[in-house]
Amino acid sequence: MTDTAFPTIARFEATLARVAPFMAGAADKGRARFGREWEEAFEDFLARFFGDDDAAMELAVKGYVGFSLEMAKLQKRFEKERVYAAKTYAEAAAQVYHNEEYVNALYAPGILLSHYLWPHYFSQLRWFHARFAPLVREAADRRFCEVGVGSGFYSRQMLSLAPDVRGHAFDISAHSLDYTARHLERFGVRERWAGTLRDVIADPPPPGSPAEAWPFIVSADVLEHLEDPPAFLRSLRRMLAPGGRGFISTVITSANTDHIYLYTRWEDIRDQLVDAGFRVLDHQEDIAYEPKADEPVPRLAAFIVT
Amino acid sequence: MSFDRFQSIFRDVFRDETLAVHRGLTAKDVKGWDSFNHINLIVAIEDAYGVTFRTDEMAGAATVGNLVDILRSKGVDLVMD
Repeated sequence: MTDTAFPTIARFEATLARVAPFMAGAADKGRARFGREWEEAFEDFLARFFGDDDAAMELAVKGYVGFSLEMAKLQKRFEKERVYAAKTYAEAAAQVYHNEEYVNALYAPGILLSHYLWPHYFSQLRWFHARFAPLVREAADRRFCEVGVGSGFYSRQMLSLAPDVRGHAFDISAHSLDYTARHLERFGVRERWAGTLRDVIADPPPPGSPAEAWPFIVSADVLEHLEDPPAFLRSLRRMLAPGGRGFISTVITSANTDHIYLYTRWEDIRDQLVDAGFRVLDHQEDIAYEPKADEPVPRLAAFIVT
Repeated sequence: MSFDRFQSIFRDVFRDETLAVHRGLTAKDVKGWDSFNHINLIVAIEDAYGVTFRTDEMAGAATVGNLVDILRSKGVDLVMD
């Protein structure tokens, strides 16, 4: 099950098996599907993020376990009811984004680890590096803006592409911005990134400001958290410089505590992107697991736009 | 509340009519007790007893004994040795 070439993964799996025996095999799917590429990426992340701090790793494992179970339970209800639990954006913000303990103990570590432990998320990461990262590397102006930064996972990916990539993030959660700053610090890229509290729908960057002209925009898993994704996409479109490129992803039929807007087909996301003024250059969709019958299963769709 | 009813939930979820449920039983001991079936188990128990598990309770239920203690804390009078 474990490999001494990946000692931090071995520590992680031992912690997971002790804390939550029912999740002991959580790493098996990624390892089976992606092999050594996945092992090297996960080992590198764990070693740099946690180092030899076993206590920090255990806290993150507990957060991931809670995050995953909460989501799985909501998904089970969603399978029956086919709608997300009714919630306003303000309610979700109070419960999640403005709740410091929730963000630090459960939400951010859950998101962060799911990028490796959920195969459809790791699949999206591979697609990002195969299709979007080359656009950044080849560009003369490598500034980017991430809107809705979460744990900082994709800001870190961007900043790690080249030593002169510089990033800015807008988020409504001070706690997500703080978590991201700590995350980026551990990877040595914090000094090339800044975060600002801003709701880009209610308070869009003023016309003519530098924030109006980003050559690259990233927004990963934000649309499903909103009551009005098209308004958000119109704001994103205004922030993208002419000829710029955007990486935008969201979930399909995937319930969570703060998921409000239900997408059931990737084509609906594409149509919203087009209506907002984007041109879709590429997309990929992946699935969390195969359905047993006709139940909806979580899916993830990503788009490269201009 | 009868222990038989509690045990029958486990037997239904894990599709094993011979499963002997006791406080020390954990996922390591039961074939198929993965995260999917952990949620199936939690939801079945919630439906049977009319209770709701908090996230920390779901995550902390590593053994049958943990589940029993959580149910008792919610007023379910479950008799179990």
